[in-house]
Amino acid sequence: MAFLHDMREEKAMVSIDFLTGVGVLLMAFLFASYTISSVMTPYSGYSKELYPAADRAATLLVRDAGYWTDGNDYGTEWNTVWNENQTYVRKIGLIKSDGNNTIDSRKLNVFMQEHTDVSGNISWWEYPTSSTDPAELENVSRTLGLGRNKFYIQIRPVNESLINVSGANAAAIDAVGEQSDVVAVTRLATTELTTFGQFDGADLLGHVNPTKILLVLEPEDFDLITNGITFSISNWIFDDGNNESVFQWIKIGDEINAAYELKDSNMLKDDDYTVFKNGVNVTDSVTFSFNKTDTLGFFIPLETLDSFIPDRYTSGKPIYMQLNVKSEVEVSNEGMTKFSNTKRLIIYPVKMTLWTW
Amino acid sequence: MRTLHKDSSGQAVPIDYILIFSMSVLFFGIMIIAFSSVVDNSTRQAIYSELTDVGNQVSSAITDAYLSNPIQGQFVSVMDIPVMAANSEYFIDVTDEDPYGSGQKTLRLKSRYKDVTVFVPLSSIDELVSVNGSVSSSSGKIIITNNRSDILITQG
Repeated sequence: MAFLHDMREEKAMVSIDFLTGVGVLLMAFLFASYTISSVMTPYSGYSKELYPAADRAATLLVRDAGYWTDGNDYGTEWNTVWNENQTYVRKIGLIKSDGNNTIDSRKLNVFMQEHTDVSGNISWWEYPTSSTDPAELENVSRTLGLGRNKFYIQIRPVNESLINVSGANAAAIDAVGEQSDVVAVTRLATTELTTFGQFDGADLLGHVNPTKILLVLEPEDFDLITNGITFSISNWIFDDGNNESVFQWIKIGDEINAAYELKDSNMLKDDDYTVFKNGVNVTDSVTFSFNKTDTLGFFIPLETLDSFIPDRYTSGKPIYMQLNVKSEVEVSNEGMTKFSNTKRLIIYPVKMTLWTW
Repeated sequence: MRTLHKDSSGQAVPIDYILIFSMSVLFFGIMIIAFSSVVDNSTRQAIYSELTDVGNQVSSAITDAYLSNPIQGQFVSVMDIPVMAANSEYFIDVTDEDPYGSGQKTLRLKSRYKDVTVFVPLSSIDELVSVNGSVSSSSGKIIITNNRSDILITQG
């Protein structure tokens, strides 16, 4: 009680009213300061940096040809070295190197997933997909200048009615998902869709008698090898009076003799390749017959190429494929049937959209 | 001793004011320090934001200069940049510093006063041509020159 009596003496003491007042004022002031400052400070979120980065990457993609070097050689046709060693590719650009300012579908096809319509004439592309190798994705991010960001690219015809647009939209929604900060940059361009490997029976060359068709894929076209080599032959030319022939075997190698023949050791076994007759898999048949109107399609997978021609990227030699068919089939002359002669261009406008987050 | 403790008549009234004044100084000191800290953070954020904008503009201008790809002679572009970023001059240079681990050069913007540094990627341009240069914001202009093999940033 004596202590309480002492408290009634206010001389030389700070009153509780004063302390409360100052405390409330201090808290109110600090709250006001933080609130006003956060309202007035310029927004500096992540998305502020996203758009310019995506804009530059998109511009370079559709206006630059890209660049590769292995330390000695260099060039802009980076698609030709992509399958050999992706680290040689220093910058991805999609346009052709001939100055025509069009997107080269061969550059698209080496790293993007192509979706072709039923006619095989119009495509749309996307990258990355769920099956993309993470190491490859990291390399592509670096070469696009998007090493800091995640991204998704889609290229589709301006005339979307030519493709399965709902499939393309669904793919984009799946890939991008719901991100808090995401920007999309769109660029218009023209693409040259290049197709190879659809041979006309009238133009076949090889060993004449007996008939051994010889096809050749030259090193500058090795970027056509993605999962393997695909080609087809139709419009067969038969000897007069014949309407049916028999397929017997196929060989693959990088050396031929003067008579345009591959060695017997280059012959593939049935499980080394797949062959289709009018789209039906007939690989299990040891030999099978076909007529003038049939289309034979062949697929030689990477594993077979690695087994028969492991040094194809460094040897500088072309890849030869020889088909043995019974001599009812005619080849027009002795020589080699080049893949590059089957090149066909389809040109159409496309729009590229790059999502970055 | 007990008598002294109970007896407050010996304490001077001015001590009361001195205590109150001291406490006030202490409280307002805290307020000023806290306010300065808030203002300083806001200033840094403003500088960072402005430098990010300027850096991206310069990086895009370098990309445009690269795409100009002159066959003969050189491509020269004069670009206006702000003299001040949130009341602070700044420097721009191309550096090998790589805060993003991309293995490529970046554009570095460093403010003179608040020690704020911003890095802007060059979008892999340096894989294609050599990019170099160092400028300050004092003149409000920079010159970007592309002579096909090199892109150089100089003071305008």
